[in-house]
Amino acid sequence: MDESVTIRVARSDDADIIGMLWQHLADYHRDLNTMMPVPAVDGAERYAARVQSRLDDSYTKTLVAEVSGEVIGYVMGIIVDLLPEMFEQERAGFLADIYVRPEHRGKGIGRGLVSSLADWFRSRGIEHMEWYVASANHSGIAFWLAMGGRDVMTRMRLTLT
Amino acid sequence: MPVDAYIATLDPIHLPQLSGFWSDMMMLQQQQSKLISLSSNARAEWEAAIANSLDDPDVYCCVAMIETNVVGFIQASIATGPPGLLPARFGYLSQFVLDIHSPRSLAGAGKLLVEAAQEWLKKQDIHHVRVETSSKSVVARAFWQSLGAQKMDDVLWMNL
Repeated sequence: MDESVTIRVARSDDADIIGMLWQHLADYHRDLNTMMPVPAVDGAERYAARVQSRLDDSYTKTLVAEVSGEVIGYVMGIIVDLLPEMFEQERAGFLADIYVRPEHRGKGIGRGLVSSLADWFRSRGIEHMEWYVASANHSGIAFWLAMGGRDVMTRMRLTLT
Repeated sequence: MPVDAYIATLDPIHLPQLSGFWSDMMMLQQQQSKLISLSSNARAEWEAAIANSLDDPDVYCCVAMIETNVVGFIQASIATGPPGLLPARFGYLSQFVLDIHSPRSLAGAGKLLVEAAQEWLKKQDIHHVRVETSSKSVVARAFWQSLGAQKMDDVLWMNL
């Protein structure tokens, strides 16, 4: 990763820009596949409010990547009981969202965000993490497989008419 | 002569048998992926989780029967999506269990269960339904695709 990139914990004054980055992420997914969820009109504001409300939550960590003082990417992870009680390995790290501005991709920033989040999960005693990747996001899937991700489940959608 | 499957209300008396079906399916999934590991009292916990959900107005459960035998079960629930994304509420087929070792044909019981859950969800004004299936099970994916489901996301996992 380029030395000019800083990865740090998100602060209160980052929430709005993270909301905007989330909007790009949601729009990108809609462009990939119209079946993906539709961002609400005030989606970015709602997301920013969520980031704000979870800054002090010990089960949530939002990290940002900063270049020359500008936030150009972020990742949000949450410690959750992904599986119901009948399974072993109850607590897991869930990578909720990650986004890096297109012009900053290919420089290891996404990898740096994921590694930093994984370090935080490890520090909390978490032994594995899980996340969703849109099936139509082929470059995303290639990135995650290169990171060591393994495909376990497929999420499908039915539309009721 | 083939006997038709039909849908019935879940009777708690069915739970021990259904947890056996569920456990068989999970063990099959465990053979395909070492990432899934059942706890030692998984069946009892599954039964308790289903029993606890029966009074939840956002959860629907039913069974499929052939003659007097229960052969399958489905649970649909209404979930709330993350902030900023629509639909804000969607349906989730959280449990789908069939007697995979049945000596008899299941006579379309799986399809009947899904249709019953869809009808209930439509009555709740839910029009988007999500379901997760093992990425290694071609048969399961083909079943859902035959009912109109489209692949949406891959669920990935990584050991830390």
